[in-house]
Amino acid sequence: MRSLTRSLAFLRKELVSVWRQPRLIATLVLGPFLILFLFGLGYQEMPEPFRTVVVAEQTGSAIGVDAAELDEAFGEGIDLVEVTDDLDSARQSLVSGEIDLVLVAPEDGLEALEGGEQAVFSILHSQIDPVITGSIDLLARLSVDQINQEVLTGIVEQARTELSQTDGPLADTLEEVPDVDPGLLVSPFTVDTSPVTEPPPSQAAYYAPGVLILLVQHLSLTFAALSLVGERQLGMTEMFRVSPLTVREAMLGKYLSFLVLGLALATGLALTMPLLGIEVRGPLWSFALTVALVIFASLGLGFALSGLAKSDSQAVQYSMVVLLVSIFFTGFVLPLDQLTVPVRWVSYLVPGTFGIGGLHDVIFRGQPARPQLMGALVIYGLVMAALAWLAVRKDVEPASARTVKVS
Amino acid sequence: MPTDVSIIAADLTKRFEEEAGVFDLDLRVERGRIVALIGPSGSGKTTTVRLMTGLLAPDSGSISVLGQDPTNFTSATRARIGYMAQDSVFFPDLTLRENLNFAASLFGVPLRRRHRVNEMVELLDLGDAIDRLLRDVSGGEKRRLSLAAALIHGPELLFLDEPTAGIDPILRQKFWDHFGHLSEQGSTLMVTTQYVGEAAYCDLVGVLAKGHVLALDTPDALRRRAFGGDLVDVVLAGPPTRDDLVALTRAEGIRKVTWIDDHSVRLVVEDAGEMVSTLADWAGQRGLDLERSDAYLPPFDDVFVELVNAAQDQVDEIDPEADVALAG
Repeated sequence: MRSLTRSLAFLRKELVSVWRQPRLIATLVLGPFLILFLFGLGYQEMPEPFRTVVVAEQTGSAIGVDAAELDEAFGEGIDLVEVTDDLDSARQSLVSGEIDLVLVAPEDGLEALEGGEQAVFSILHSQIDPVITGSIDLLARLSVDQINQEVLTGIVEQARTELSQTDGPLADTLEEVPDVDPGLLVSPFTVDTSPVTEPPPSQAAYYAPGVLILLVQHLSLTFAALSLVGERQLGMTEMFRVSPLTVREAMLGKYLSFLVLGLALATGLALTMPLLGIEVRGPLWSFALTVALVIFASLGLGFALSGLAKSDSQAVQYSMVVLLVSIFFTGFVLPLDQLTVPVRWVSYLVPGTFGIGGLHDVIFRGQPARPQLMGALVIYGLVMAALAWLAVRKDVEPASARTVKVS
Repeated sequence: MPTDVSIIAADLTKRFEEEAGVFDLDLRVERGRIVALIGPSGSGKTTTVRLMTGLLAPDSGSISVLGQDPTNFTSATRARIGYMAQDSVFFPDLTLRENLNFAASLFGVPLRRRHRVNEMVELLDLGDAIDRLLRDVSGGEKRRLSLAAALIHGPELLFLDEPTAGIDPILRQKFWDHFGHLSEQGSTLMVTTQYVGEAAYCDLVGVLAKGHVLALDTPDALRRRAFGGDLVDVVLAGPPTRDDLVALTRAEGIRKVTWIDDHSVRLVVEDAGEMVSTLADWAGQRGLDLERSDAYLPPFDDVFVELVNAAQDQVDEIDPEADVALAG
């Protein structure tokens, strides 16, 4: 009973301490809610269409110059601003940022075709973001494919019309062939992708579990590290060392305190998910277990890091490094598969890697988190708890009890 | 160790640097006693307390506190000990009451402790501050909280490292009254202080300088040791002659005679209680009118200075008044 009293003293002290620091709550607790909310609110799945000027000679071009037809051919990714034959003016607009793309149609498209060569569309842009540059490349290919289809469809239609007006074996054959849409003839195959489980999430929804896990991980880790370092800086450890407090009691109290805080935070974050249109398709117990294990593992990591930190600013620096590693290596931004195997081990150094995978299972696949992920979190948490034990032991047991006595 | 002995230390040494630490400390404190460690800053008082509480391990020598080696204290033994550190250390975002409850929990005081907390609040005059955040209270109030935290679980052995520093004289007197009360109830107290005069409240006083124990005895014995015996002030109606005083020095039991003023002298004697008849005989023989003779109890500050001066050979270059608050 006395042991429990000692552990509960830490629970009460940590909760009251956090409650008494409104600015800390604002930045560390309310901040994440705001971040998640803004993220969901502001993220656009479809980027703004590229403002595009088409430069084409009025004659000799491989494409028509009707703006309406072109706009329809380009689709949603391109916003056709104008069709012009003034390349210099279009280039100037591009440099000044008035437009995003200049599409230059080949001047001698028909001649090139007649010469047995492909006619080349040139696309000019001023982007430096590799992702956007990649999008432009993809969009350009799709648009040219679309134009090629339009051209071929026109050719097929024209050929069919001309053949039907002639006599001969070809015309007879044409009569026997069913009246197939020319568009189908030039593009006979298409593709349809569909997941075998639940429908895939929107992009904003896809990132939400990652945001939740990283926030919970970061705050748990930071609170844990700051708690121990703070006590050390205050000099409270001297009282701990003289008192009957044991490492086990201190750790139980600390873990309980921040588990309560972390779960409260995670619950709040989880409740904002429906507001963002995110539905948890899997069992809620698995959702809760995943988050709880991430908090458990993160607390251990925080306590262990506190053993290395000499001041609270150093503790915050360590937690920021872990956050940075988490952003790049947990699969939050880039899929883990895109990391080479040795580097992928870095991913396994942060609990968020397993947590994000687990929440993806629960939220999007509609199934409990994979047991191997949960098992990894348990093992990770236990290893960190062992390291945390050493850090807490340093604060709770007198140095004399940890050193070899001389005589 | 017999159960009526709380602390035994023999040849206890903890060395930090060449002249810093505690060296060859021998100490025996019986249960229910108050022992004071007095000395200037850096004399080894806090190191001694930290060795006794197990916060430090000795380099050599032996120590037993409540029958155990402090470096191997069990939780049960720790629960019997109270400790007030030299610096007030608590959580700034908690109120004094919350901090006190935290300390109570650490030492295993059951959760139904309101009465006990209120007792401490009253004893330490914390009524106005108890529900204020620690960061908003004065240094004196923080010291009182530290003392309350050390006392809250009713320990049978208390280590108080400068408990009265920064406390006003009235409250200081109240503290010492309470320490005396605890002692009567069987608690043992080890108190360090720079207020040398507080040694007079103790059963045993250790005078430390540069890590060495210059003297360890009862306050009366230390006084006698410092001045070479009891002190008696003699006041005459008229001024005595030099021959009168020479005759006095030859009287039995009188060791030293010094002038105070024309009519008064101070004697160092073997036993002040046996001086009445000796002085009456001397005055009668010399035809002097003896107005009065009183045993004189010098302030402990003077005792301390005398002891340190006498030990100059032991501890070189010591300034006996350095960092010592000559308070009464």
